Amino acid sequence: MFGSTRTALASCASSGKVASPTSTSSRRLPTTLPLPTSPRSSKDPLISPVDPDISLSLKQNPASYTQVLNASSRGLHRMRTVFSYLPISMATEPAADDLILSLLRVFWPILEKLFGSEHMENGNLSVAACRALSLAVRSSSQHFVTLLPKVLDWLSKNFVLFQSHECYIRIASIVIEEFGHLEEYGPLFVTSDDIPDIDKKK
Amino acid sequence: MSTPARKRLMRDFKRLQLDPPAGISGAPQDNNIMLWNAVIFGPDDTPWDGGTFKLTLQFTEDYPNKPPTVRFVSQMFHPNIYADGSICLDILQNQWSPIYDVAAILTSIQSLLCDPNPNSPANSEAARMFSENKREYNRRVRDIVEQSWTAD
Repeated sequence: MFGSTRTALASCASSGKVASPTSTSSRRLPTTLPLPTSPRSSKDPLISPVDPDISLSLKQNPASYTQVLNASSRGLHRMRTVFSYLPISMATEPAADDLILSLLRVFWPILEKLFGSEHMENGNLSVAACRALSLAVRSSSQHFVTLLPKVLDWLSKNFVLFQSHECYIRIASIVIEEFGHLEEYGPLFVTSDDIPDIDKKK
Repeated sequence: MSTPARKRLMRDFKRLQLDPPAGISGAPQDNNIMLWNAVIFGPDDTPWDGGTFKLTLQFTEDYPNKPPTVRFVSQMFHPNIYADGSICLDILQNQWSPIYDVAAILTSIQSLLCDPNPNSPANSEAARMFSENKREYNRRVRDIVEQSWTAD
């Protein structure tokens, strides 16, 4: 695609517009991160794409379907941002561990439902989900161990189903970085040293 | 009524659905192929990371011979974006070409986020800050990233 390789240049030479400064107020996240609310109905953007009945009707309307996918991706991006702030919170909040566990208890069931849906065919949604999960893994560290079997299962399945989505490889590498040292999971991760050297056999 | 512009837009939409560039998404509004909503996600490892910025694209029957009118709905702080959200970008003006499709437009705008042209300012405060006080500029960008989380 030509547009994606071309350097975009901004130019107002032919524009009669007069620029005016944009003023934005400063806002900071609270020290104690707010917990995400649980889905209250099947109309919640993070849930509706995986409701079979709603899913079918949405796919018949491409415009609406895309809008729902957008909303879902945006929600996952926000969750990712929440997780990115956890390391900061952990430094100042004694109850950070409880916060992490609460977030994971809410977040993982939603994400698991998404990973199991056919909508992961959409590249943007897959990327958003994998990025959010990546930060959840990094920021929650050992708290994530109990979820690891399910995570690995879904990553493997989706990688096979959607092989053009490189995001599954990226998150797999993060999981290895975080948990590859554990004796319990060590055998799951093969290093290059474990691979027989074909040249030596010749 | 099926016109060349509408046929082209339907093709652009199908292409965007089948092979969406990373970090952008767009679709026509219900029952109006000439008016689109789009979202650009801020690029990773930049001050824009985490941002979810909404835009509208208004097409006319002159498309693709003429560019659409593109405007950010989300609040922005960028040297080349006006207060009203309109964008100062050459391919949307005198450098437009019919070979550009919706995906190309959105990808170019996404690239513009991290590669502004301060010499052609639409927002003089942002342009000056980008050149003279990068730390403060990045802080202002992160502020609008946070705003994009709650704006719907």
